[in-house]
Amino acid sequence: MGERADILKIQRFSINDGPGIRTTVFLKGCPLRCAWCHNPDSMYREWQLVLAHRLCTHCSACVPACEAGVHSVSEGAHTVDFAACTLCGKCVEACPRSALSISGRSASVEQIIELALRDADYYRESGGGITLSGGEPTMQHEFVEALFTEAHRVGISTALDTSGHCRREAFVRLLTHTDHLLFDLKIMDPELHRQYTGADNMLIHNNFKCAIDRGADITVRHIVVPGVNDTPAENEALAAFMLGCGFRGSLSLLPYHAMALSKYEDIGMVYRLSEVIAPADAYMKELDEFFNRAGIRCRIN
Amino acid sequence: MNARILKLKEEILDAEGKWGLERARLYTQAERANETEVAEVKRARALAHYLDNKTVIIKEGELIVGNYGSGRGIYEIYPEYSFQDSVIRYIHFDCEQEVNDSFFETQQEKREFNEIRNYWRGKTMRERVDTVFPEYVVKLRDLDICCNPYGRDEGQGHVAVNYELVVRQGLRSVIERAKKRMEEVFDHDPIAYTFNKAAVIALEAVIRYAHRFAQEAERQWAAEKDEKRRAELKSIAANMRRVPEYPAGDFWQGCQAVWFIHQVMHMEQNGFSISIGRFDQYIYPLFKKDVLDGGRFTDDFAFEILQCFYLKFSEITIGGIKISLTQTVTICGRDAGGNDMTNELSHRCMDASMSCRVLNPQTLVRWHRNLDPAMVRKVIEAVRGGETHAAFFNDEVVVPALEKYGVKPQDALQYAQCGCNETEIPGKMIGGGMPRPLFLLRVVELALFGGVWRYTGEQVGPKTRSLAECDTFEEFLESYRTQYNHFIKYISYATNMMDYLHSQYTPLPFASALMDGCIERGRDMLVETEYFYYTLGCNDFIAAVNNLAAVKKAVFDDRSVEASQLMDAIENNWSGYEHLQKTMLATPKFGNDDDGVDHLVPVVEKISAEAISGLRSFRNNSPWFCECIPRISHVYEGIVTRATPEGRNDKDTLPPGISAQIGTDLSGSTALLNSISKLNPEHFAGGVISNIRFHPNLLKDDESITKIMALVNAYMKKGGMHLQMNCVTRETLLDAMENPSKHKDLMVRVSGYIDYFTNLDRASQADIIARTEQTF
Ligand code: SF4
Ligand code: SF4
Repeated sequence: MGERADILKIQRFSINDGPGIRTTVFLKGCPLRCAWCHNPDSMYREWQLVLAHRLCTHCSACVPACEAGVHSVSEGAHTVDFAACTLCGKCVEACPRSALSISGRSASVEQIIELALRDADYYRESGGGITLSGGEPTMQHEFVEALFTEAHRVGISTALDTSGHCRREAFVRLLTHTDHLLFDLKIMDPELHRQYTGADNMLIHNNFKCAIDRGADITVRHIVVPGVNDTPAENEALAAFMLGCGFRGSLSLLPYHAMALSKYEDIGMVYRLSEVIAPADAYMKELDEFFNRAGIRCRIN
Repeated sequence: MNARILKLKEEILDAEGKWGLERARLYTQAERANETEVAEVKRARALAHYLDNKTVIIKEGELIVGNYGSGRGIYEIYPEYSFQDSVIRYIHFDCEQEVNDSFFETQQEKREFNEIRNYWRGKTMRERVDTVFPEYVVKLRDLDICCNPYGRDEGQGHVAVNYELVVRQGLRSVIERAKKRMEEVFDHDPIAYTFNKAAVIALEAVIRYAHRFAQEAERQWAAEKDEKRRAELKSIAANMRRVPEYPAGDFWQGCQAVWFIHQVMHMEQNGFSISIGRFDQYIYPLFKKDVLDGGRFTDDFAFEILQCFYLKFSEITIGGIKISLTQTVTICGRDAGGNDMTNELSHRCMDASMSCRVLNPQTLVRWHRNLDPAMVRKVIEAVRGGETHAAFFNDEVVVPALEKYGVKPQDALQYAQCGCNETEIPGKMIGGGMPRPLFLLRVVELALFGGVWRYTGEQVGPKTRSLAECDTFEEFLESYRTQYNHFIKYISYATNMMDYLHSQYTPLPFASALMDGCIERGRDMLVETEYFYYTLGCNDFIAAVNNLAAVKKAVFDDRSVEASQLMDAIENNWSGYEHLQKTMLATPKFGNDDDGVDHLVPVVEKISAEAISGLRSFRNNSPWFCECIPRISHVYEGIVTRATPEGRNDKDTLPPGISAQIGTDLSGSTALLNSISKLNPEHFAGGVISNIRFHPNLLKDDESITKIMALVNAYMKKGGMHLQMNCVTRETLLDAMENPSKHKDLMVRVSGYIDYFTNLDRASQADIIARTEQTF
C-alpha cells in the first residue's frame, strides 16, 4: 500500500467507461502521441499550468504574481511562457476568474478507494465499478495493480482502459486484476499507426491477442477519424484482425470530435489535426452495420 | 396523436387568457341574497347559484365534459378571497397588485366589475387577514421572513378528496348520509346540522349541473349530422345523467365522474394543488372490465378518453395557462405485502401524459423496490423526450414516516401527492397550512447581523451575537438557532389564525362532504379531517446549509477570512472583494458528496425539527413536519436577497429545494444524489423536491437508460425521498429565450412543478439554463 499516482482527474458517474455506473480515474502520462487526443493534458506525467482562455478577462492580476515572468498580458492577448513555469501556484491563487489552474495531482490508493466506496450502492445496482483510464494507465502499472488489488479486497469491480501499448509482463500481471478491459484499436496499417501515434502497433496487437487468449472480457474502442482511419481497407483489416484473434466482445465506435481543440491552446500545445471534421452520422451508421454484418457486436458511442 | 386530441390541445394552448366576470357576478348575486345566512349555507348556496347559471360548453370532439370558465382561456375572479392579480403574483412575484377595471374591454364590463369590487370592499379574505394580523406579523410578512399566507388570496387547496367514493357510490349516497345525519343531530348539534344542510345543497347543485351537460349534449345531438359524433353525444348525455350522481357504470363514466368533481373543486375555491389521488388504482376495476376483459371500449378509444381527460386539467386556470395549478395524478406504489400495484392503466396514464404534453396534470410515480422496471424505463424515456412531468416519490420512505406520525398502516399505504409533492392521503389527510415558509436565508442574515435587518438597520429579530462577535462556530450557530426559534411562534400564530378565518368565512361544504368523516362529525374540512399536519417550509434549506458551511470553514476553521471583512464584502456585493468572493465560492458546496458541507445537513435539520417539535395545530391537534417545496420561491427570494457569504451575488437565485446551488454540483450525479440522501426524510414528511438535470446525450440509447434506471433505483434504495428529472439542451433553451413562439410547448420542471419555459420570466429562464447539466 501507500502507492500514489499522478492523475488528471477523477470522474464519478461515468456511464461510458465500461459496464454500469463507474468512477473513472484519469492517470497522467502516455507513451503514444495520437494526433486526435482528447485529453492532451494527460499525455505527460508531469503536471502542467493551464490557462482557460475563455475565462480570462485580461485583468493582469497574474502578471505580478509570477516571479518567473511566465505571464504577459497586452492588447487583449494573454501569452504564457509555459516552459518557464515552476508550478508554484501563485498565479492560480491570484486569478480572480479561476482561469488558471494546475493540471495534475497526486492521489493515493486509499483516497480513490474511499471515494469509490461512496458510490458502491450505484455499482451494485448497475454492475459498475472503478475504471482506470488516461493517459495510458499501464504507465503507472504498479499503482494500477495496487489499486485493483485493494478494490477487489473491498468488493469493487475493476476496468482498465488501455491502448495496449505496454510491456508484456506488466500487461499480463494487470490482466489478472482486471474484470473488464477497454482496449483501443486505432489504426491497422503499421506505418499510418506510427505516423499518427508515434509508435508501431505490433506490441498492441500482441497484447490484444494475449488478452483474448487469457479469456479477458473485452470491449474494443475504436475512434473514427475522417481522413485517417475511415478507409474501407482499414475497416476490413480491423474486422479481420478482431475476428482472427477470436474476439467475442463488443466494439464501441467513437466518432471523432474537435471539442478538445481549445485544450491544446490552454496548455501551450499545437493541435495537428485542426482541419479534420467529425464523421457524418450516416457514415457512423454504415460502419455500425458493416461491423455487425461482419459478426462483431457493435455500438456507436 | 389523433386529430381530435390535437385539436382539443391546440384550442387550450392557443386560448388568449383573460379575466372573466361570470363567477364574480353570480357569487355576488348569491352573497347579496343570503347575507343573513350562516357561512356554510351561504357558501353552498353561492356554489349552487353559480352551477345553476354558469355557461355550459361542450366543445367539438370532447369526450369528457365540464368546463371551468365561461369561455376559452377565461380565468375567474374569486371575490370572497381577493381581487389580487395572480398573474402578476406568480410570474413577477408582486403580491400587492389587484385586478382593476382596465382589465375589461367594454364600458358595461368595467361598470359591472367596479360594482362587484365595491360590494366586496371590507369583506374579502385579504382584507380580513390584513385587519386581524398584528403589526409585527405584517412586518415579518412584508420583509419576506415568514407569515406570508397564500390563504390571504386563495383557498385551502392542497387536497385530494375521496374520488373513489364518487366513482364507486355516487353523490346520491353521500346526500342520503348527510340527510340522515341532519336528523340525528337536529336537536343538539347546530354546527353539524348546518354543515350537513350546506353539504346537501352543494351536492344537489352538482347533480343539477351535470344534468345541464346532459341537456347540452342532447341539444347538440339533435343538430349533429355526423353519425359517429351523434353516437358520442348520446353517450355523453347518458353519462351525465348517471354520474356523478350514481356509481360509474363504465370506464368512460369513471373518468367523467372524476373530472366533474375535480372541476367543481376549483369552482368552490381558487386553491392550488388540488389533486386526484391514485387514479390508476380506483379506476382500474372499470378499465379492466371495459377495456382489458370486456371489449366495451377498444384500446384506442379508451386511450382517447384518457387523453381527453388529461387535457381537461389544463383548462383550469387561475391567472391563465401561464400558471400551473400543480394538479397531480399519483400512480403505482406498493401494497401491504410489498407487491407492486402498477397495472395496465398506470402505463396508459404515463402514455397519456407523454402524448398530451400539457402543463397539468403532472404524473407522480410512487417508487418502491418491486416497481415494474418497464415503468421506470418509461419515465426515463419520457424525460429524454423532454415532454413529461414524471417524478418519483419513495414509498419505502414516506409510508414509514407517516406511520411514525400516527397514521394507521393501511391509510399510510394510500398516500398520494398533491401539487408539487406534498404528501396527502386522499379523503383522509391534508397538510400544509397557509403561511408555510420561513426563509432560512433571512434567518442566516439576521444571525450574521445580530438580529438587525441589514436592509434598514432596524432590530427585527432578537439581539444575538453577530458574526464578528462570535469566537466559535458553535456560538454563531447558537445565534442562528435563537433567531430561528424566535419566529416559530409567529408562524404558528399565522397558520392557526388563517385556518380559523377560512373556516369562519370561506368554509368548503362541497369538498368537505367528500372527505371521510366530515359528514359524521358535521364539521368542515377546515376544522377537522381524519389526519392533518402543518408544515414549516424550509424551502431554502440548502442555501442556509451552504452559507453556514462557508462561514464555518473560512471564518472559524481556516481563520483565513475576517468576519468584519466578510460582512463588508457582502454589503458591497463583493465589489472590491473579488478575491474574497473567490475564496468563499471555493468553500464546499452541497451536491458534491463533500462532508465539509454535508455534515451540516443534519445540524440545520435538527434546528428546524426541534423548533417545531412542541407545536400542535389548533385544527386537529396535529404535529408539524418540515417540507422543502419551493415552487419558484428560490428565484423570488434570490431577487430580494443581497450577496451572501457562500459567494452568491445580489439577486442571484437560490438552490431549488434539496438540490444544488446553480453551477456548484460538479462531481457527477452520484455525488449529488449522495448529498441529497443525507437528509432525514422523517423530518421532511411534508415532502421535498430534488432536481437532477440530464443532457439528452446521457439518455441516448437503451444501455444508457438502463444505467440511469440503476442510478434512480440505487438512490431510492438508499432512502432518497423524491427525484424529478429534466432533460433539455442548453441550445434549445437559449433558442426558446429568444424565439418563444417557436417553443410554445417546451416544458421544463422548475421545481416541483412543470411550466412552459416561455412563460417564465428571464430570471427563471436563466436559472434553468445555468443549472448544472449532469454531463460526463
Ligand atoms: S489573472 Fe486570470 S483573468 Fe486576469 S489576466 Fe491572469 S489569467 Fe486572465
Ligand atoms: S504557477 Fe508559479 S511559476 Fe507558474 S506561472 Fe504561475 S506563478 Fe508563475
